[in-house]
Amino acid sequence: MSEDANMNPAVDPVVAGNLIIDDVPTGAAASSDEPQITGANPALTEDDELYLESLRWLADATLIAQTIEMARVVPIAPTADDMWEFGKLCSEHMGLSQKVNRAARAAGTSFVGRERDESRQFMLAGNKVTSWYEGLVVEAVIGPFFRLFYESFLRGSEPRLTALVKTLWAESQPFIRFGQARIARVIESGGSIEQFQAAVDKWLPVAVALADEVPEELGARWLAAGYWEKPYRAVCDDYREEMATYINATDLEIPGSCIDAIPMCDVRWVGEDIVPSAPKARPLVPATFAFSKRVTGRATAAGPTTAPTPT
Amino acid sequence: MSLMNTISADEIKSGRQLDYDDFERAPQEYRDLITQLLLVQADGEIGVRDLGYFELVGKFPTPADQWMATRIATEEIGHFRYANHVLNSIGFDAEHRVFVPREERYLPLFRYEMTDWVEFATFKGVAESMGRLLLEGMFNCNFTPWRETVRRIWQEEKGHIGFGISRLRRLCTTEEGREQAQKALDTWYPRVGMLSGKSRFTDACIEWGLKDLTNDEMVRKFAEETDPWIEELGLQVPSLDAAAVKRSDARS
Repeated sequence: MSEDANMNPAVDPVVAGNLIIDDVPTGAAASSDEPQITGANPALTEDDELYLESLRWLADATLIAQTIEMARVVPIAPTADDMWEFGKLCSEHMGLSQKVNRAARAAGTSFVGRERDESRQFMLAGNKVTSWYEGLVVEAVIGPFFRLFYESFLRGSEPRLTALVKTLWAESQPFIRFGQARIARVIESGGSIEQFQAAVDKWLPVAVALADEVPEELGARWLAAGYWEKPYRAVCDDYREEMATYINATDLEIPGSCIDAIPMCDVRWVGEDIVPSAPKARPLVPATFAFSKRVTGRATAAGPTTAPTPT
Repeated sequence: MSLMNTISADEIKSGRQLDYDDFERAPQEYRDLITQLLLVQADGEIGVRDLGYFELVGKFPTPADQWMATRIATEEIGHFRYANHVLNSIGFDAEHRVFVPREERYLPLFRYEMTDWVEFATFKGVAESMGRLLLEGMFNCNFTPWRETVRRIWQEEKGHIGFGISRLRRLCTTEEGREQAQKALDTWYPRVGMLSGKSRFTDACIEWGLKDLTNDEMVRKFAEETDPWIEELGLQVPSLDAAAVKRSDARS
């Protein structure tokens, strides 16, 4: 068979299968056909309900790309490489929500359509990203919150949940690293810090406000059931501490509205007060293996034990 | 440059395969052709940033669709990077085409904007089928770095087309959906016809071994391959009359 015989995508199952990795049997009216968690189901045990409720929270957390419309800023990234990177990032975010949806289907339900439900969790006060710079800041600043939220289930008693969260946790790490690394690179290369600062001013308060997201009663149930091993307050404290460390280690500043929640700390280089960092006014000499000679009492074949004579 | 090291037009036209190392030794006309060919390809690929792809991904009906649509849109930008990489390797760059306004894109197909996700799916299923044929027309390109890159792009484009067709198929299971699909098809299918017609550039590419399909051959193959599945979905195949599109554009 010639290669061309397989080229018509209409008849080539490979083509259809190439990208359709996690298709769901839905159409334009998909969400209304899918079972939704709308309230207590008498057939479910209390444990089942709590598990589904937890999945729903995770589903909402993984919908961040849709919530803040991240993909819309891809075409306005500074270069094609930046667009490509950021586009990949958006699709990988959306890929995470597929993993939660898969777990939901395994549990006999579906969260398809939640991305259009404005009453879902983690709506981030309705904010949307408006620039690539904001997109990076969201990864750097909001990303750690979600990673800590996933982490809070990591050592829980529900194995299906811990297995899922392990994936979410691991896969959300690179998002944060990407955001923080790109911000550092732009600033280092002389890029405008003002755009990032404006984005931090917008998004950090949004993240801090997530401290009110999980109702106390639900947090208590998660703790009582062993899904969580620390209270939500501790998750938020960890987040604020992480942000204080991150922001203070950059040229960015904590916005005034967050100063009470994330206090500035005095960052010093270790030993700075003991050893002044002024340059040493003495000539440099070539490094040698003098240490080995002192220990063994002899020269080794591995390297010079005295400074080579300049030629 | 020594005359001994040059590669003649006859050698190239009689089947010699060229690599990056050969580029500088090839005749100026050949070098110009490759450069232009890559620039047009890169321009078309990066054209997606302005077609409305990224604004529409969130409008797809399911999160799975949204995820795949985002990935597809990103892969198109990746295709720009592939083409630009080859350009960079021969000393040229297409980065200046990234933010070019839509109406200045080289290929007319990329001078329009999509307005809903059904158009996105239709563009993928229909217009990308033409894009696939454009790539297949370069499967025997004698500039091997580009030929290999074309294969890579083609592989991904096949997935994009499959996505478009499967979404249209799903849409066409209802009468309302079929109407939406027909509307999008009526908009995008005739625009593919704008790629037909005589082109001195394409003729030169064929003469120099960079392509082996004329525009008209591609459009004919496009109709042969696309029309059957369009009809199978219960849709009417629109006319490929490019002149009608131009008249409509002029009116609007």
